[in-house]
Amino acid sequence: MTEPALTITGIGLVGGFGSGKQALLEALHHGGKPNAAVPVMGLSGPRQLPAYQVDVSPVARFVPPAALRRMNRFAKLAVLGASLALEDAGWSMPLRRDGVGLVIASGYGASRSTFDFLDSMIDDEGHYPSPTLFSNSVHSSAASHLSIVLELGGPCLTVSQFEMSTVSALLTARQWLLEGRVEAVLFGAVDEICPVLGYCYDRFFGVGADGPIEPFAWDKQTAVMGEGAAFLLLERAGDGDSTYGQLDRVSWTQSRDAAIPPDSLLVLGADGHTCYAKDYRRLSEQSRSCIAYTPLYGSLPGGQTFDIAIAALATEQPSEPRRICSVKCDAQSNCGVIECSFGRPHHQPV
Amino acid sequence: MMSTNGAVPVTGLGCLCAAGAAVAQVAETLFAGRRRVAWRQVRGESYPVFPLDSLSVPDGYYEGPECKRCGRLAVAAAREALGQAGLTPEWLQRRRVGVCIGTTVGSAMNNEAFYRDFRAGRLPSIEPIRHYLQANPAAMVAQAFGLTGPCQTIANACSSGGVAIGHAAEWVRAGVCDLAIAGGADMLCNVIHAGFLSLLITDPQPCRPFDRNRRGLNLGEGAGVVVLESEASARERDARIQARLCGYGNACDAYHISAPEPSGRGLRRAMDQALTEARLSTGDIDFINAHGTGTPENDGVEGRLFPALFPGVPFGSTKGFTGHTLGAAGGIEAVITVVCLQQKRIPANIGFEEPDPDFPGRPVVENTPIAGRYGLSDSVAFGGNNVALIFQGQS
Repeated sequence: MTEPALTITGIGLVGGFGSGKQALLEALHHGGKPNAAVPVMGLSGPRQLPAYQVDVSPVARFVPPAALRRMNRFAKLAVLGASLALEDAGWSMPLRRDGVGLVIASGYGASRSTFDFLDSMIDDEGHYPSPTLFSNSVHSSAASHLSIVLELGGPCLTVSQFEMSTVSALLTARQWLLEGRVEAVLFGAVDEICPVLGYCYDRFFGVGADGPIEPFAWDKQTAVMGEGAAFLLLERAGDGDSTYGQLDRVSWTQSRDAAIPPDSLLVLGADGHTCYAKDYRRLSEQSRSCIAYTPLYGSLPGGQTFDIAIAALATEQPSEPRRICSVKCDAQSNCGVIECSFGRPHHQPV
Repeated sequence: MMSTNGAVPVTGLGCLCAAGAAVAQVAETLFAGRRRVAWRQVRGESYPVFPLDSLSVPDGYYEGPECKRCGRLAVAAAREALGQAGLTPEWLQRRRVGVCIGTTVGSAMNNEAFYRDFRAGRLPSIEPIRHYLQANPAAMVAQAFGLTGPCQTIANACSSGGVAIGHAAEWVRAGVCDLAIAGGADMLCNVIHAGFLSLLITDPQPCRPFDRNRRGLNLGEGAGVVVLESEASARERDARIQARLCGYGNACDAYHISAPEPSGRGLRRAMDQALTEARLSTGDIDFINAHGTGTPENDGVEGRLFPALFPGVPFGSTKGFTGHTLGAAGGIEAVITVVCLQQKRIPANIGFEEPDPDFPGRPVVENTPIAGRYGLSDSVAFGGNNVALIFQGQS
């Protein structure tokens, strides 16, 4: 059955590579690599772990300082990514629209604020902890701040399904558009690094957390922590100017059942974690050509949104195929499959 | 907004909370006007809470990892709902079944003991993290019943359970799945309790929704789940349809990170959307299960909005029986709304004694018969997310 398509009319990317499309295209051209070293107290003593870390300061270009004052870093990541997507689409802020839905996919939510709130509980034993930190610690804080900054009165959703967050949230975003609940959806994946995550990488993976990411080294743990925000402005096919192309099909399946269209470039979410490697390996064997963009942005649960956005940008370059199939697997062998067709030239190739 | 004209059958209900360990018991407690309040020590002081009865908690609830409690609650409610719907594991595994669960605590890594050790440099065991990664509530439900369809854990704070039901209905209508298990689950948690204390919206007495002297909410725990099924699937197996979800609305206040917009503009928009989708007018609604947390701000919004939008329509909050179960609230209250349609009555708003002169809305003070077929349940969340669900009872 052919599904009605959605068009992508704006892209906003923030990651260790920098902010915006140009920064991403430069990373694509030169090869991505971790841009930070995060101090971690490991079992064998203090050490540094590589990471893809974001500088959120460019958010000040979009939001006045007073509005940023109470915003946590997780929300700033989201606001920066969303603002870039809207700017890319030529939409001015604030939107002041009720017909725009907001969907955020996040593996771990506002983890820094969660632990900051615990800090305030522990530090102020016997007193009330910080209400501002508490309000910001919930996963929906990014969506709440975004709705306030953009003055969006439409429906709003935050999904937390670990690696399956993007495909799960996209199933709903797509439905909102097809049912006419909204005219457009601002869809974003947001995840952030925090000290506990560094500790987990050290304890779970040891030297395997030292990178660099080798997505096709199936038997080798090479994941490197990543953070960032990837936003897509989505509209129904036919409604907007299809700047980048379209999402043709979104499906949740089991990796053993995933069917990869033979004419598509397979974009694997393989990010150096061996626990998903057997599924990615099997999927890669079904395809004539495959690629992984994870070395550009790191390992993070919402990476599939990055993959779609990067594929859309990369496909604008004439040498790339025009149909792509993005897959993301989790430890239970669930598999998110997103088929897209890209290729309407719009930007100058790098 | 386009009207979908696609009411989705509800073929199963499951619920456990302080008011009871199963749907029938919850209904019996509500209409008997009983509430079972417990007191919990948080940061050296005692506060009323609404825990599950220790004899009715799911297996392993206290013995297993704390972070899995939300998932265990969701599984227990889903088990009741699937049993009520007459669905066997074998049948389910041959169909495409989606799971959509709202939660607040169940998606957060807030293990205080682990974090204290981490902070102090004591290199804590990584087991709590491993458990957290296995504790996603929607995934736990899928694994418990061997389901391979789409899963969605919704973290919209206190509107999560209602949002989950609305989205699951969209999936069923669109054919993403034949059937969906949807609702909310949340547990009592010291960290979250400290957070609500910090906001100064916790009543030191058992909560008093819509009462003039209300001081805030009391936390509760539990889960409420519905089975939503396509018409074709329900017809094929001759399932008993208990109600239909005929309207869903979801809208933002775009106002404040923790306080509701005073005029209720976002809630009104969510209700308008639900009415449009259901092809109903405000006069068709026969009762409202209010969010009614007992906080001054929340009850003020609803207490002004309901009489303006739905004049004469009876409403009440059931949080005086369940406590505020956060992400579970929308699920539990959806189940209660369907039960009210079936029993053709709504329970008294326990805790209400004195009207608040600041708003005209007065909740029902005794069990009240209802004549019609449409019940509306709303939820309001942190950050200004509002949801409205309209259920149609079966004649």
